[in-house]
Amino acid sequence: MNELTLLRDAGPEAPPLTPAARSAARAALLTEIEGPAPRRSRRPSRTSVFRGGIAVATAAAAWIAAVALTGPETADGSRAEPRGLSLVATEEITFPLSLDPEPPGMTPSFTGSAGSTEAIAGYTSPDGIGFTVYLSPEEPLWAADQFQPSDVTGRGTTTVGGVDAQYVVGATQRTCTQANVCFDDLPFAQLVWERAPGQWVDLYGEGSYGDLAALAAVGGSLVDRPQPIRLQVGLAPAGWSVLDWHESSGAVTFIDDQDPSRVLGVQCMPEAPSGVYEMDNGSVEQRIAAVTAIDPAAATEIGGAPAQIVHARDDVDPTIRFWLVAWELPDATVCTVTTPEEFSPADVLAIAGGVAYTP
Amino acid sequence: MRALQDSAPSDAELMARSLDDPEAFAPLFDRHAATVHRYLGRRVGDLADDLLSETFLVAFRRRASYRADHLEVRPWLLGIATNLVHGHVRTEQRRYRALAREAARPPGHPDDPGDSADRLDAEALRGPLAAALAGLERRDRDALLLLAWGQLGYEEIAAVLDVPVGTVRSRLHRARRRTRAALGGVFPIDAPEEDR
Repeated sequence: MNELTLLRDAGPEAPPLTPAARSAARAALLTEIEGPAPRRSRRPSRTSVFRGGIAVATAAAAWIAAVALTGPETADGSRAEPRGLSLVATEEITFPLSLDPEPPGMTPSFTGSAGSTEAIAGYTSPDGIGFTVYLSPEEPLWAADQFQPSDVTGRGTTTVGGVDAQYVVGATQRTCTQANVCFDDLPFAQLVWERAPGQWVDLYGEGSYGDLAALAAVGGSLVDRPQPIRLQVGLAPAGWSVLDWHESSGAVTFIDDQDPSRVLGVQCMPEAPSGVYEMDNGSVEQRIAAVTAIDPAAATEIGGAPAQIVHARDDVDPTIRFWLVAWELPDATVCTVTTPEEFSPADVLAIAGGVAYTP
Repeated sequence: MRALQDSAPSDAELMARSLDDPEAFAPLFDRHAATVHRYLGRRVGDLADDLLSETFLVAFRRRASYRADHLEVRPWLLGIATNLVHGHVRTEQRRYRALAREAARPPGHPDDPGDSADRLDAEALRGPLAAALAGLERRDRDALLLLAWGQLGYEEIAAVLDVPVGTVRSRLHRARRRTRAALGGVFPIDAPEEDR
């Protein structure tokens, strides 16, 4: 035995690729393949240019005076004057369906992209068990084939809300890690049906939601009532549009309509459950320290919370330069806003000030 | 069914076809998602879910730069995944350190006495192995894990990391020497071999 064999046999194991995660990644890819052209509904309203900007402007001016931060250097080493942006109010980002009644004690997490009818809502209970609602405009023919054949105990047809639905039920096998930590059988169920013309639902549940009747009840409780996602970005530059949102990683992304390579990223990551080290959301200081600073970070405030902002560059490609502001919410959620360096620090802070996160 | 699978287009054909027909790219996800996720998961744990998505998004956007005569699609994807891990170096190191701490706790009693020796051997190694990974230089770790977990050859690693094969060899030599040193006191390690 050598160290390569050891790495393969006794090295850290990968978590399983769950159907929900696989579906989310596949949906994101398909959205990308379809192209960004039809982003239609998430464009910041040009008619509602942010006019309550006095408070923003005042706060930004005070901040600039306090930290005396300047704009990025030009090629000849001089400092370019940051160009101000016209910030506009954005439309609320929503998932098109709700559950009525709402499942008690479960936290939803949404994934989607502007202009696409593909979207995902994951509902998780505190013990990590839950279900996922995956919407697509076409029948997800691949959905029923994503399970290990040995795990499947039944397939067939049932009804959800009076509509025929294909189901798969089964249980993942009991597995034990080399550290002798074992996971018991986990029942799962999946329902796929066309809920409305052009709206296919792939509903996948585990544990108590791995019961076909329980999952069908969830499917029957879906109603046409948009619900806002938990992370909302109230202000964005005019001419920029929401691209997508991935709440499992706490992220909403905007792009410049004229140059989609220019990205504005907003992220809010809640504190990780105890013992889940790889999902540690870190601290404001760690977020700032994780990037390569061009200029020293400066202290500021976002919504009354201590924050830091830094002008930084990409670790791999130093030509990519950006602003990063990080702050912590009262529940230990850490939020960041990342913008191209052409944004002025005042714009970056104003955008951060418009971020709203509902735990 | 077999005939259908045999007549399926190759990865390279799908890549080439996707330049004009973007939807031709989707089957590459179906073929390689599990492999890429497993590689990412061993490095960054649950964050692999997000990085899997990012890997294929980046791959799709960069498909025009893919050179089938240089590299097969699987190592190309693993190379993209490796680059994405670079943005989460601290997460990766935290994961290894956490695993090392976890493994340092006293082991429980095995249910099956028959496999107790193997299990205890493995348990004894998990901590030092994770600690060794946390202590490696990032470039050395990339080369080592592309070899051990990605199961890439030296030439493929060189192509993925955009360095000469000789550099790959030196990085692997350094990474394996340091890993052996970290494990040597816990478990007897055979002499290195030219694993592929």
